[in-house]
Order: sequence, then structure tokens, then C-alpha cells
Amino acid sequence: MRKWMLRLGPLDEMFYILIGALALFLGVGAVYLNWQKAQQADLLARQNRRAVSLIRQFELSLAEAQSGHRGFLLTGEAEFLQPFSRAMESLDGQLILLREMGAARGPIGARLPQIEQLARQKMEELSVSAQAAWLGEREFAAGLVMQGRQMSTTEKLRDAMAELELSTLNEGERLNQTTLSSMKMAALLAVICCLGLFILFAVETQRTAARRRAAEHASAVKSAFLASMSHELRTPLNAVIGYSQMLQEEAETDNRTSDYQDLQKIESAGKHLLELINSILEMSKIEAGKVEVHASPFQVPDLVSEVVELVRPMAAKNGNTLDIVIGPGVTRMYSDVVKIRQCLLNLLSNASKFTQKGKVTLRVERVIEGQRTFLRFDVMDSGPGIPAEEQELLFEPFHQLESTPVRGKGQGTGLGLAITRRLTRMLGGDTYVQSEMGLGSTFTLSLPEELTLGALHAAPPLGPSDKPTVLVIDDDTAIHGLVRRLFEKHPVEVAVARNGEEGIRMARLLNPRVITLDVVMEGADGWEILRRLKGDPQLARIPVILLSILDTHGDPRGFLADEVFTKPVDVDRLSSAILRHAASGRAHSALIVDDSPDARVMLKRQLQNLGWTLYEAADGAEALEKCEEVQPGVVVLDLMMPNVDGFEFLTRLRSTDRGRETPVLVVTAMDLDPVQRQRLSQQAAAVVHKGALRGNDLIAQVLATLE
Amino acid sequence: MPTVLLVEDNEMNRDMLLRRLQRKGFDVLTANDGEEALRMTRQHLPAVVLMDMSLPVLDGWEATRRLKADPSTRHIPVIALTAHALPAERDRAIEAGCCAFETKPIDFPKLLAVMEAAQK
Repeated sequence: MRKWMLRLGPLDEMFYILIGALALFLGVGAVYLNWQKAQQADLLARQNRRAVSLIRQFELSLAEAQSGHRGFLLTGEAEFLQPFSRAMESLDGQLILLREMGAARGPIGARLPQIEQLARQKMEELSVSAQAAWLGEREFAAGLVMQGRQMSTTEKLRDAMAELELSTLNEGERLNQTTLSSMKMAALLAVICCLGLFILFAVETQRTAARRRAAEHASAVKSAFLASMSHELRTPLNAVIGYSQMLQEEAETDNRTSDYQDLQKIESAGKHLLELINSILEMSKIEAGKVEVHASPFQVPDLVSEVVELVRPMAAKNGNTLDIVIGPGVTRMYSDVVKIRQCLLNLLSNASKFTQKGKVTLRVERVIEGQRTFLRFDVMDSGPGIPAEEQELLFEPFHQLESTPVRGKGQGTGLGLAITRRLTRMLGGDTYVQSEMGLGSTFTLSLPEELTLGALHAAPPLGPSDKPTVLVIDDDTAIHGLVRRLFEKHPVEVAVARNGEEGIRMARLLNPRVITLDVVMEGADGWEILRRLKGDPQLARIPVILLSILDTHGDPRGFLADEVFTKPVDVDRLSSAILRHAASGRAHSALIVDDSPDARVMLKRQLQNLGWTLYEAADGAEALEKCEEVQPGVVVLDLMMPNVDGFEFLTRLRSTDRGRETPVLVVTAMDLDPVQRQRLSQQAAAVVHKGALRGNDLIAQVLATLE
Repeated sequence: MPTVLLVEDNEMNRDMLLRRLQRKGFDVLTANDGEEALRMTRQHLPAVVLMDMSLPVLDGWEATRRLKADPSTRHIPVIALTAHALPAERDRAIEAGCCAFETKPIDFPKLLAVMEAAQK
């Protein structure tokens, strides 16, 4: 089974899907027709059984009438008249019933007029002769009987009735045959349906397996490539660094100062290259989810002094002082000490590198937030500072500051901060920066004091960010700023690339929800980038919004894009389009739970742009029913409601199988106390304040809950 | 000074390390592949073997395993030198019988310290 399935090509696959679908379609259609036919046959058979029983009753009544009639004629006793008239009445009723049945049924209907005529004739004979006898005209009555016998009405009637009974029975037999063959047919059709379903199922299983194999294969190829690339690069580097060190020793012995200095430069360039290789390898391992967390208890002051001693020579080289401030209560930590050491080293060496004749301070503080305790490591420098628009860029791979004086001097790999942020997120924390031009910068590592399983699961296992990312590929920095501003208050991350190549690289790395692409960029053909984005299996499903200074509507090359905007763009429309595309395919419906009809209307209006099905509920009880019924992609929940309130709703929803994973965004006007906030943080994806929602805010929040 | 056997198939790296070790006063023997490494070790019984792992003819892992299986060479410490930097590589080398693992580019002062420790 598996073998033939593995050999299927894409064309064969389509063929099997067609066959499967066709079999299923024909099967179901035929089952329906067959079922109808069987129903009809069953109805006819029931009518026939009734007809036969009527016919038999009729014959019985006729015999009774005749025997009563005979008795009366022979004896002249009135008591024989009673069964006679009773039988005559029944005959009349039975004739009416037969006629009714005959009107509905062909075979009975065809014979019925003749039977009825004979029956009426017979009944007439019987009643006339009985009347004559009653009036004492026995001779006349006997004459009539004789005459009737000559006409042999009774025999004719009996024959006709027998014939009718026989034909009805025959028809019944035929109907039984039909039902039987229908049943055989049904069994056959069921087999065909099953076969169709099986083919479809097999093809789908094969497709899923193929996709999984392709992904596994890609991952394995990537790992193998990285390992071998790392090996191939290290081997020649070993010679470069080794020889230059050896020659340095010789030059030093022979007092050849200028040679010694040049050799030092070769060595340092070699070491920088090595650092780069190590960083790329590490970044790739993080991206591939191959970095494991090993938590153990350790003393924070020990770690701090160890790291500071390592960085001290570097700080001294640039004439910087290096201070440590350890706050009260900072002692033990339970986390991955190797990763924290690496992050601290990175931040401290950056600060020492980019600050000249200044001050670098490492401050450690213990911060309690709700029920969790964090350790905050602030690395502060008195360096040049970082412009606001470049601060977030720092954490993107391969971004170094445009404005830094050391750019291009081989002082960094451009990966250090990106790695630091990802590592701290793996440990349940984060890395961020605060800086003002001319006043220096502060880089902060915020990490849970105790690394719990919950903190680990909260951290994204792979993937660069836990927020939906929008990637802007544009050489126009005004557009970068514009898109950043659109989402600055939203839980949406904006990454920018200045050219197409960088854009494709970043798209692979960041896996953004949406890409905006300028098609008229300097030095790159945006159309070509669009073609490459849509031709790359990893990237093809990411929606692309084209932005162009030229009117490109109707340009056939634009058909690959998901939406097209002409600059200058209408910012509201652009932000709506970005959010709509970012949400596409993530969910298809939302349930709005609020006791105020006005609030529901307002929330609905805000979510309309998503193009989803929007359900409503006026309280928690109704919302639970709706959740069970429609299983919404997201629930937007008010807290203060009659009957079952928002808290109760969440508790009940989370205890159901289907509702356990449903993302819930709480929109409330309540001021929450710490206990309530704690409760919600465990059960809801996010909490936003009702008054704070403007424009596309709600959509952005809903989008973030889907991550 | 003790005798060191340097097993390395890359000519430049072999030459570089050979000269640096000689400058530190070691008697250095060299081998280009795993077979040669086995032969040289059995013949000269060096104090330490520096073993590259990716070698032609017979790789470093197998060569180390055979040295460790042979009673006459079992006592000689083998230090793995490799450009494979992943942690799994270290485990593989230690499993084969190496006493230490140094990644390329070699940190020379550290290598000297490891060699000294291995001989004790």
C-alpha cells in the first residue's frame, strides 16, 4: 500500500483525486436514487397487501350474502335476511374502498370497473330476488335466481376477483424482487462510496506525509549544510590564525615591530571571521529550534564578576571605566547560566566597543511583577546613543547602525543582539533598549529568577518573534517610518528591508504575516522580487501588498500580488489592508460577548474589515452555547455581564475540550485588581481597555491573540 | 622533551602546527592518515597523539578506537583536533577514546596546557 502510494507523481495524484471524488459522487447519487426506488416499491407492496386483504374480505362478504339469500329463499324465514343485508352493506363499503384504491393504483384500477359492474349486477340480482320473495312472489324470485345463474354473474365475478388477486400477488412478488435487488445494489454502492473515500483519504495521507518529509528533509539538509560549511571555513581559518600567531612570535623575538603589527591585523581579521561563522551557526541553530535550555541554580554576583573580568580589558582599551551595581536581594537564580553569560558578555562588549573614554555600568536589580520575580540586568553606557528609529532594528539580524562610527570596521557580526534577544526569550524574558542621542544607551535583559516550565512554554520555541510581523521592503525610508507609526501602539512588529535581496533574506528569517513591496526601487526590480517571493515554496503563501509610485493597476505582472496601492497611499486603507491580510487564513470567525447592544455594534464595526463571520452573545451563558455551536476563531469578551460574567465564562470555557485553546481577547472598562489580572493572564491571551480602542486597534489586538 | 605525534591530512595545518610545536621544543612526528597514525604510534610510542578526526584511509575515530584497543598503545593520551564545532562532535570524540577535544582554529596556549594535563 505504502509503496505504490510513494510512487505517485503530482499528475497521478490529481487523477486519483478525480477518480475518488467521482466514485464518491456517483456512489452517493446512486444511493439516493436507489433509496427513492426502494421507498416506492415498499409503498406499493403495502398497498398491494391491503388490496389482497380487501379482495379476500369482499369474496367472504359475497359468500355470506349469497348464503343468507339462499337460506331466505329456501325457508322464507326473516332471520336469514339479517346476515344477508349486513353482508350487502359490507359489500357496498368494500366496493367504495376498492374504488378508492383503484384510483391510486394502475393494476387494480384497470380491472376494477369490470369487477364493480359485475358486483353491482350480482347485488342487484340478489336484492331484487330477495325483495320478490319477501313480497311472497317466490316463483318470480326463483325465476330471477335461475336467470342469474344463466348469466353466471357469480362465476364471472369470482373469476375476475381471483384474477385480480393473482395479479396483485404477482406484482407483490415482483416488488419484493425489486426491493431485494435494490438492497444488493445498495451494498454495491456502499462499497463504491467506501472505495472513493478511501482513495481520497489515501491521497491526502500521502500528501501530508510528503509535506512532512519535505520539511524534515529541508531541515536535515540545512543542518548538514551548516555543519559542513562551518567545518570547511574553520579549516583554512585555522591555518590563517595559526601561521599569523607563529610569525608574530618570531617577529617579536626578532624585534620586527611593523611586521608584528601587520600580523596582528591578519590574526584579528581571522578571529573576526571566526566569530561571524560562530554567530551564523548559532543563529541558524536557534532558528531551527535546535538550541536546548539547561537550567541550574547559580549565584548571580559570581556570574557578574566573572563576566566583568572578561570584558575589563576590552573596556580599558577604549579608555572606559567599568562599574558594577548589585541591588538588594540579588543572590540566587535558577536558569541557563551559559546563555545568560553569553548575553551579558554580548551587551557588555558592545557597550565597551561603542563607547570611547566614557563609562560602562552593569546594574542588577530584583523586580517583582505580580507573582513572578524577574532579574533586570541593565548595561548602561555613556556612548553616542542610538536614534529612536534605529533602536528596534538593532535586534534584527545583520542590521548594524547606519550612523555608528564603527560600522564597517569589522567590529561586530550584526547578529549579537538578535541572538541575545532570542536567547532571553527562550528563557522566558526579553531584551530591550532605551537610548537618547548624546546621552548614551541602556540595554536591558529581563529574566525570570526561576525558570519554570510555564515560562519556557510561553517563550516561542522557534520563530523570531511572538508578535505578528509586517515586513516592509522599500528603499523609501519615509514608507518605513509610515508603516512603523501605523503600528507603533499595536502588538505588531514592523521589520524593514532597504532592498529586495535583503527583503527576501529577512522574509525567510522572520516569516512575516504580510509583506509590503515597492515595485520601483533603485537598483532592484521589484517585479523580479515579487516573482521570487511567490516562486519560493517557503514564502509563496505570505500575502504581498504592492506599493508603487506609478499606477500599476492593470499591469499583468501585478497578478501575483495580493493587493496593490499607488503612492501616496491612504494610510487608513493601508493599515486596514495590512491587518486584513495578516489575519487571513488565521481564523474565520469571532464571537463578540458583551451585554450592551451598542457595545456589540461598535465592536462589530471595528472587526468588519477582517471579512470574518461575526457572532454575538449577550452574556456568558449564551457565549458558552455559541462557542459549543460555532467554535469561533477568537472570542472578544467583556467582563461585567449579568448571569454568567466574563471571569466565570473563561473558567467554564477553559474546562471544555473545544474551548481550552480558543484565543480570548478581553475588552473591558473595568479597573482590574492584581488578583483579577493574574487570573486573566492565565486564561486570556490579552486584556485591553475599552476606552483605548481607536480605528484598527481592535483588529491589531485580535491578530496578536492568534499568534 | 616528549615526543608528539601530529596526525593531520591538511598540509598547511600540519606544517603550521608542526613548526609551532617544534618552536616550543617538542619532538614532533607527523602522519597523514589514520593507518599511518597507527603504524607510527606502535613504532615510536609518542607521549601524546594529536588527532585530526576527518582523515583519509582510516578516520580519526576508528584510529583512536584501535589505539585504545591495543594494550601496547592504550596508555597514550589522544587529543582530538577538529573543525567540527558542534557539541555532538565532542561526545563522539570522547566516546572513541579521546581524552580531550580542541576545535580549530586551535587556541595554541590552551592546546599546550591540555597536552601537559593529558600527560599527567
